[in-house]
Amino acid sequence: MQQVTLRVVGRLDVPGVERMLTSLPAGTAQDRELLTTIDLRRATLFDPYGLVTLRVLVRHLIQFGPVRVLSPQDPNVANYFAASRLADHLPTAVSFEPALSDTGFRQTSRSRVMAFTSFSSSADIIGIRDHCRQILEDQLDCPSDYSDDLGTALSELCQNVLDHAQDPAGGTAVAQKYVKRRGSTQIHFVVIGVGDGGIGVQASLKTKYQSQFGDDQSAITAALQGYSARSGRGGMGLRRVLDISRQYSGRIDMRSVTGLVGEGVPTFNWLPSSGRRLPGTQVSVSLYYQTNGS
Amino acid sequence: MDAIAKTAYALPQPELCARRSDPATIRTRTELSELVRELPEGALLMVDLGGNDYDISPLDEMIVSNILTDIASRQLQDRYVCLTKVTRYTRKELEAAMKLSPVRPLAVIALDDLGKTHVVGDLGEKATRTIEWLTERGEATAAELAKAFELSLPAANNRLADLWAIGLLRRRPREAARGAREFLYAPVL
Repeated sequence: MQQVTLRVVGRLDVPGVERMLTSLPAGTAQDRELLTTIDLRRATLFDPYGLVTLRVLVRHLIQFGPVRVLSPQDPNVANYFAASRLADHLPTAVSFEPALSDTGFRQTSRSRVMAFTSFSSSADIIGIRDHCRQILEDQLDCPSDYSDDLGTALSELCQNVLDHAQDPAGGTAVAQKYVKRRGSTQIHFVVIGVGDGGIGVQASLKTKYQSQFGDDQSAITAALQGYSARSGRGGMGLRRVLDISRQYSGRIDMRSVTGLVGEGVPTFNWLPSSGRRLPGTQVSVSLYYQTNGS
Repeated sequence: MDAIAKTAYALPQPELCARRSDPATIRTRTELSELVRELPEGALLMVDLGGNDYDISPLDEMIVSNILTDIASRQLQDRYVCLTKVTRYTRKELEAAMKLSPVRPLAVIALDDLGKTHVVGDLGEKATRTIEWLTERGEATAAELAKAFELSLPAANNRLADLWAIGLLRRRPREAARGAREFLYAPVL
């Protein structure tokens, strides 16, 4: 049995996931046996994308053998991780060392929009969308247009999972609000993470539109640029998310199997992908707005 | 204008038609398409959205790429559609779907929960102001619009004809001076 250790040092966000994945054996074969340790001891932050991707990774690796997770050492980070409820959505065979205990993490900025949530139906998605809109507008004082648009982006990303992923376990979503101060200006942004362990963008485009793309990277790029919307057979959802992202000077990053493509205003930016294989599609969307004063 | 014949239709709840491929979405698309085609000339179909929040894909499938596109592409002349109990959220999604449509411009009259009229669509401010002016006035000719907005007569004519073509105004001909014919335009409601 091959031993594999994946370490998270610092942030588990889009670049952090790729750094972690570089320790994953390339071209993991179905008959390989692995003993995997995911070492989160030196993690300092889990963003929504990092959380949904971690769940996909663990579900993927447990097919090859036992998975143990070394919990974050920093008490605040450990509490945040426990409060995210990711562990509730992992196979029970995954062990945490030391065991996670939710010690009542206090978010001083009242910034939790939505803890780790599974969905497998349209009714679930509408519930998620409306829950987030309500929290953003009523508890986090976000402008109503912003709350609506973020709800739309979240809903469309989740709906894409049901429409395209073919993952019997459905998908998961997380949302978190952050605030940065720059002089007298406050920059607010919410990050959405939506993920699944399904067939991925390239296979989905092939199944649905008989499209042939040479690799995951070009399939993701085509999907983000509205490939299926232009085909006149639907596909407005992702195009709508991209429009919303641009409207809020935001950013969208999409990982699917081995590809990773990010877009921030105004042009496509290519992030280096580790090239490691991870099932399904994981998406991060960040939308920004500013306020003045303390 | 004569009394308007009206037909009402209620959309299914959003959880039943959240995706293009949901059976309720497909059934609604077919039913709405048939209803509009069966309307007598000059009649109005009022689609009740029930104060629910719908997302872009089902709205496109059931309404935008369906009945609104048919009207705007002149397949259904002199038939009109109005949406009722339309939330702010749904109006934004409708507009987003219209902007992505290959047939442009598209627009529709939408009433919110309080009965307030909104022009939802990919239209400029001039078109919106024209409809608001006509709604206050009741009906008008191109000459009257030209005078009110300080436009040339052809410009006023074009503006009204364009709004009629996408189903935002109704019109009827009447005799003008010296035996000529002119159109009298009015809001669809």
